[in-house]
Amino acid sequence: MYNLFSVKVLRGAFLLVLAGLLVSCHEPEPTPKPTPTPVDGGSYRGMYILNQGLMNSNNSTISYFDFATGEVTMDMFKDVNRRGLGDTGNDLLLYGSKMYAVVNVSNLVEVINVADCKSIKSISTPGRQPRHAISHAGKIYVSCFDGSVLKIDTTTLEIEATATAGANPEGICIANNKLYVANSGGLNYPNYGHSVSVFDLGTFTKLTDIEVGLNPCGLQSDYQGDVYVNSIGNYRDVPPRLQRIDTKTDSMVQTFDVPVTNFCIHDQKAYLYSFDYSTQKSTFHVLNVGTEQIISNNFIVDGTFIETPYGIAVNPENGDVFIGDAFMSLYDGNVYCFNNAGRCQYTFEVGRNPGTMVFVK
Amino acid sequence: MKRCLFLITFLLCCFAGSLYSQEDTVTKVHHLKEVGVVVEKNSDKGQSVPVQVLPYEKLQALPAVQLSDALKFMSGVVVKDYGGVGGLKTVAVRGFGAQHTAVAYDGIAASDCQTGQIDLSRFMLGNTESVSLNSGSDDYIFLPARLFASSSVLNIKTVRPVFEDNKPVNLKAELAGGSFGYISPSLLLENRIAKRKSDGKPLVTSSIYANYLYSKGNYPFTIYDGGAGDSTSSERRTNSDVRAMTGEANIYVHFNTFSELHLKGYFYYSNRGLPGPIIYYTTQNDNRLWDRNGFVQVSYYNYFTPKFAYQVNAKFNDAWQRYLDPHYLNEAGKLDNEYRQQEYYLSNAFWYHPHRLISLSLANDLLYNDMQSNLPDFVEPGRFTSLTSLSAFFDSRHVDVRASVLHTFVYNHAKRGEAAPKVSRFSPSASVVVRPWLSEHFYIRMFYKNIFRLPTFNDLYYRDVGSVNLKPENTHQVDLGVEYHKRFFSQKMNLFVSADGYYNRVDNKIVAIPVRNLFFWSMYNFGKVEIGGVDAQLTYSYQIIEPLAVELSANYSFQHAVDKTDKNSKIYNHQIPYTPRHSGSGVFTVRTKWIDVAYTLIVSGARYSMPQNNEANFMPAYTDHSLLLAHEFDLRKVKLGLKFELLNLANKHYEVIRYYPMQGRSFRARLTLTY
Repeated sequence: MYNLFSVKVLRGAFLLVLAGLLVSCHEPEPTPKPTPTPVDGGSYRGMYILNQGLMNSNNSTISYFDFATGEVTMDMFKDVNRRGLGDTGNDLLLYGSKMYAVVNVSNLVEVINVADCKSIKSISTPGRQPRHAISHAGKIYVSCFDGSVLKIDTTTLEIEATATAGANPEGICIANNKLYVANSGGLNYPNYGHSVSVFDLGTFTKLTDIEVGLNPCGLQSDYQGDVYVNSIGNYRDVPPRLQRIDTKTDSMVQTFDVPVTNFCIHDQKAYLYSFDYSTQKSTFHVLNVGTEQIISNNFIVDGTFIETPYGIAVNPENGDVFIGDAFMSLYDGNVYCFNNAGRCQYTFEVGRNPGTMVFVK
Repeated sequence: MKRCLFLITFLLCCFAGSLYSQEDTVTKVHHLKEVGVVVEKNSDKGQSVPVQVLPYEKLQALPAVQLSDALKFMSGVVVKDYGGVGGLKTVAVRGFGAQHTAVAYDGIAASDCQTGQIDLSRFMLGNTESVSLNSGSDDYIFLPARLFASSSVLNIKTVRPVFEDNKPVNLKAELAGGSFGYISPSLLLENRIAKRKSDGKPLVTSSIYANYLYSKGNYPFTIYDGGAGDSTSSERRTNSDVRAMTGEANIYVHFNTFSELHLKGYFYYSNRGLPGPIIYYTTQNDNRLWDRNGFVQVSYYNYFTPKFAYQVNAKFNDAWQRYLDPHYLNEAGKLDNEYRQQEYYLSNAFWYHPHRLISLSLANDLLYNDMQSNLPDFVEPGRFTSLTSLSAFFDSRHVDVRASVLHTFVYNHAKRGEAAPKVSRFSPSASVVVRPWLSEHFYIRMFYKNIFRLPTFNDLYYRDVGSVNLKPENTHQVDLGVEYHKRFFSQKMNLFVSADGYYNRVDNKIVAIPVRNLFFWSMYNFGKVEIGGVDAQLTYSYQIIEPLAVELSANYSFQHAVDKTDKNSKIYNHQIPYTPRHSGSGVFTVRTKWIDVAYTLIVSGARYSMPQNNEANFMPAYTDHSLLLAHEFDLRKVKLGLKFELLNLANKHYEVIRYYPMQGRSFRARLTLTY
């Protein structure tokens, strides 16, 4: 009796072991990728996408999307330079024939040739933690988390001068011949910052501080010379909001009562999105920056679902809106292309946490 | 009613206990204690759950200084080692996160309510008698309820004083040193304070253990700026130093064979650099961590009658931690955070043996945890937990069956802000072991266990991003295994083999996700993981002639641990991070008259550092070979032990956790004086 019983159990045990071994042979199948098809990019040949990666993981990448073939090169910087871009690429700025990748944790500004993605120079900024960059008249201005703003000459690629803004500067923009820097104070939890510093571009000295909402981050100017800032709030009772700064008086003049995590201005329109991590809900608004009116409460009209919007950019020529989806930062992202009517045209895969996108000729 | 009965029996026994003639019980008690305490692989009982034991002699043959080193030689275990002596070391058993493994130190669980995981680098093996790892619940049911409340239990038993030839004092002094500034002296002193009048055996004994450890940890490594074949640079680990002190005092009162009181005081202090991950193109790493932990615990048991026993365990634990980032870019220009937590613990357990075949156990554990910090607006959370377990064990010649149910009640509160909701849950587990032929030590076992882990204080309350609405992470385990041991040639040759296949599931896995920017992370109940695995072990030993013996032990683990959260995601069916499909270890020991030699091998298959199984996250397989040489000189009253370890012989530079390089080739030497 025991014999029979044990043989049965034994067989069961070995079947389980065998099943386990069989499962091991079954490697996960790669998700089928859509066959690349050419897309319309206007006169642009393609776009570079800076994927932030994850902090402390050295996995920032620059993906290249080719409009003519519809193909993606996932990690173009590494393919070309035989080394990784570094840790937490936070911003990518295109200026002339060069791109400037601001790599936060690796503490450098990587100067890259646009034509072939070859590194020209790594400008080291030890301990400063660079965050965002903007260009003006042959210079690059870089905001750094240590409170400094760096002025880099685009010919010598040397740091020419350093100015001091407030706590943990994030967004940086130029309007009305002045430089604006958002002092997020993001590392001063719970006492986040609430000012934007204004610098004279000629003397590179601070003119004034403008009082804005809590935790200001993104900063962009429109065609009228207005500056828009989104203040992230405190992730608790102060919601993220978009505000308008009049650059003639250098004061905050308007608050838009819609949540804004990130935005992008193209011509007359500002595309605003928000993502609430506690509810995991997104919103997509469109603002007319000429009339300063919200003209759409839901930009995406065809029901395309974006799980975690992480970056936004507009093709300056045809007005296509590109939104990066980070999928809760769990794995590689996607970029969705919408026409200006809010219909998804196509989508492609990029690296982890796609944040900044630039269009190149 | 049952409790009332127990109480009456208990009171009666208090008076009657000493009058009993307990000849028969001795074997039973010892048997039970053995099962619970040190399960010898060749003991007569097969276990209904997989138990892996590293007894003292085995630990000595391993290149192990810290507990985590020893666990690398167990199957189904992934030791997450952040490199160096001071690097964090946690353990993942059978695909579950570190929070699912309880660590019991002399029978009482160690805890960290802030992170839920215990840093295993702090447990030094100098005074360790044995280390064992149970998956599922123990066959030995007379235990505190808390040891039923996790997926697996790691038991650390410290050395108990044993006095030979009427010697009242034992002394062991040790000095160890090695590469990269490693030095570690330790001392163990044991005293027999009083003898029993009745039989002359020790009544009161004590032991004191102290250990100091310093390691500079400035070992070399190579960075690959992209991947294998890409540009590289050779560097040295910086800010990897560690200074640690451990002190422990024990008092044992052996009232008689059936009852004992054990008092323990423990102190730990460490000050270490946090070298952090290797970051490309920058070297700044000057964060530091200080830990101070003290606890006192008391255990008392009494087998009042052959049918009834009682034990009480109590503990007070106080832990303090300081984290310093001297270059944090806030207004203060630094991050200097202190965390403090306390635990008050009381456990009562009753054991009742109404019939030759049946025993029952009822245990209740009460815990109170709280935590303070100098973080601004810190919520100061507290948690009251009551665990009640009821277990039954049926013990026959052919079949053993164990069944338990655990009830958990948790009440959370917070001084500021919202507290997490109450939890009340029942968690069942059952196991069975069958011995088909009494002539053979061949066993077939099967177990099922359902248990969960609570969100930690960090998960629930950390800054603005903790989430009080997190649900517990729920686990299911099913295991089917076989075990066989045999002794040949008048016990000179021993063979032990076991193999287990298992299926585990995790629901509501708690996952960290960055909030807007990568500086803020928040916790979500996001994942579902399924794990199918196999653990296999083999031990063979042969005493060829009296001083010459060989022993071989080998382990193999297979883990198919895959994400099952969302069919449409890019990681569905992908192997979870840091979990190799195949891994194993081997130890080969030769003992001769002149020298003992051990060769050890650790093998890990390829893994991924992130949930997505792509090239960017791929981490290659590695092997780690070590060689140990040891000899003991007998100098009449004193024994002098010498041990030399050559670690990572092949000088293979590998990482267990990505960008935390492990030490290359190095050596350690140890001198031990025993009186």
